[in-house]
Amino acid sequence: MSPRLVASLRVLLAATGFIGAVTGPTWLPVLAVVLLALRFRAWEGILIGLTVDLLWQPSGWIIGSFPLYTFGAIVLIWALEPLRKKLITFV
Amino acid sequence: MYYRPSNLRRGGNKGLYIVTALALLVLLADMATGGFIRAQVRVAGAAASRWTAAAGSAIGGTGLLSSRAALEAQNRSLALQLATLSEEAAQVDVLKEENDKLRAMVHLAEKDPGITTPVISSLFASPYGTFMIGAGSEDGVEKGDIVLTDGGFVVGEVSDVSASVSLVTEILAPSAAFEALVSGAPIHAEGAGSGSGRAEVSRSLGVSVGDVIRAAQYAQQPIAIVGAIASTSESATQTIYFHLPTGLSEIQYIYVTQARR
Repeated sequence: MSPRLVASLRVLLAATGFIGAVTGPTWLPVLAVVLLALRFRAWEGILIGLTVDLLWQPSGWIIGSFPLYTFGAIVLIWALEPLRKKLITFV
Repeated sequence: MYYRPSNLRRGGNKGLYIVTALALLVLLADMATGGFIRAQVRVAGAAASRWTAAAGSAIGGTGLLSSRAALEAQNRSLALQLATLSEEAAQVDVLKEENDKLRAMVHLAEKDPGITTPVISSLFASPYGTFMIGAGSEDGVEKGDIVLTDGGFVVGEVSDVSASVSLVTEILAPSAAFEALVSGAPIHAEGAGSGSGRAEVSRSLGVSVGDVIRAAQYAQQPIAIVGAIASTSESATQTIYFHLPTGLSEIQYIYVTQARR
């Protein structure tokens, strides 16, 4: 795939994730973050998770509910870093 | 076709480190400011939700995403309607429907003082079983207030309040568990999201479809009705499935009042 196409795909996935965070369904931002994390060092995935938690999670975390989506995105994107480094690209 | 190694730059994690630190800092700052940051994000999110809904309606109205057969059928229908329907009559119908919904809530105000407010976010976007309403501390909304449908069924409880927007946690949110009453008997109910839930009860309990489920924590106010009952002769228990009588997607306005406990 051409670099321009790859960049467009990344923007599309990020936009889908942010729109899904606002309007739903709930699996859309998760899918976007997973797909982004598989291919890119997607810092925008962390922002998508943060957006979901700031929008929908009741406050009082640690005492109340845990910001699952933010930490989930951070763990996922960092955990897939070794996979991304060894990624084999078909040309 | 051949293989080539990934072209990710070595040591290119700087941006990721910065964003990770920024995200954690935002969460800490939000906690330190008592939810100020999330209040601003929710106001922006509510506006974005309204814009997206309007854009979706506009695109759907053009028929762009419809099949050819559906478009032809729609064309015929619209041609017939065009002769008898005017734009002003349609606007009057919308206003009348809103008026009817708001009028249906008047009886709630006679029993418990409170305010009627619109739902300003998607009711299905939240993974935490929450949604936003267009009223906040400026309107007298307080944390712990309960939210009712026009039929007087408890939908949830206000869990976060900012100046003009509040976050409501559904009583039937996914993984929520609470004590309830049906046919006068206490049950342990579990929320399943989207205004529905379930409970395992004894087979000897006389429950019927249509029975009202009441929340013990809200002075036995109604929260749902029984929609289905599943039981087998081998089991000592039966599973009752319940839901809000009004579909969650149909709720446009809700009533906020202080909780009776």
